[in-house]
Amino acid sequence: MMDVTTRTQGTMMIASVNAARIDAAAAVQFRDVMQAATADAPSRVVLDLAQVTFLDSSGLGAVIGTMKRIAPDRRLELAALNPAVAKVFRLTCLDTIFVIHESADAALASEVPDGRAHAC
Amino acid sequence: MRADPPLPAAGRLAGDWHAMVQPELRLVFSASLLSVRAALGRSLAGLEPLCLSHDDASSVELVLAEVLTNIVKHAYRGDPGGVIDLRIRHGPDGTGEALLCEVRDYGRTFPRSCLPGGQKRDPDAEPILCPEGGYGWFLIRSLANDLSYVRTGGCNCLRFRMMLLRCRDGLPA
Repeated sequence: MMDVTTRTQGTMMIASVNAARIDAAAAVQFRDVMQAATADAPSRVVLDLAQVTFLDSSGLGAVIGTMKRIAPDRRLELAALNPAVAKVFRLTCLDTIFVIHESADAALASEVPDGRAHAC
Repeated sequence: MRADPPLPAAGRLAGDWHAMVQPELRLVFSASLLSVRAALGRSLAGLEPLCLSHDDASSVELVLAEVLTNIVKHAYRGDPGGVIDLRIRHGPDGTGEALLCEVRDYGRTFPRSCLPGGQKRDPDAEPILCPEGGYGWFLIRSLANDLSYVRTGGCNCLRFRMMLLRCRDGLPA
C-alpha cells in the first residue's frame, strides 16, 4: 500500500509519502502514484519523506525517475529526510542534485530554493 | 568458596560482547520482494539484543536489502519458487566487532561470475542524465567489508562483514 497526500500553495506542491518504506517491493507503486499525483503539479514539487524511514536503491531510482519525468517544466525537491534516507542520498552523491529542505513547512516558507551544492 | 559474580543487568550486556555470545541468526525464505521485506524486519528484530546504533542498524538493513533484492531480481529473476538462506553471526573483529553475514541462493550466477562494481552519481553529469539504477552494488561496497563470492554446485554464496561502529547517534564512538 503506497499513498501520497498532496497540498498545493502557489507554485509549490507538497507531496507527503504516507509509507514507512520505499523499497524494492514498493518502488513501482511509488512511481505510479507519483505520476498520477504530479500530473497537474505547479513548478515546484516537494517530496515530503518525513514518514519514510527506509529507502533502498530501488526507491532511490524511483525518486530519480520522478525527478526526470516531471522535468523540465517542474522541479523535484526533497524535504524531511530521516537519517537512514539521507545516508543513501549522501553515499551516492545524489544529495547534490536535489534541493533538500528540513521539513515540508520549511519548504513552504522558502521563497527561493536554497540550493545545496557541495563537492563530491 | 567464592560467590559467583552477579549477572549484569540486561541493559549492560549491550556493550560487552563477551558477555553475550549470540547464537547464529538464520532465516530461510522464499525469493520474493515481500519475503525480503519481512526477512529484513525479522533480521533487525533478531539483532535487537545487540542494541545497535541507529546508524549501524540502518547500514545493516540497507546492505541486506540490496543483496537480497538482487537475488530476487537477478539470480531468480522473479521466480518466487527460489529459496534464500541468510545467516548472521556477531563477533569480535580486530579491535572492534562485526556482523558476519552469509547469503546463499540457488539461482543464476553473476555475469562472468564476478560481483558488480556499482556506481555513484557522476558529478560532471547533468542531473537529468542521472541513471535510475545501478546504485545498489555501490551502496553494498560502500558499507560492507570483505565481500567474497563463491559459486559451488549450483549455489551462490556471498559473504561479507558489517563493522559495527557503535557510536551513539550524534556522538563520536
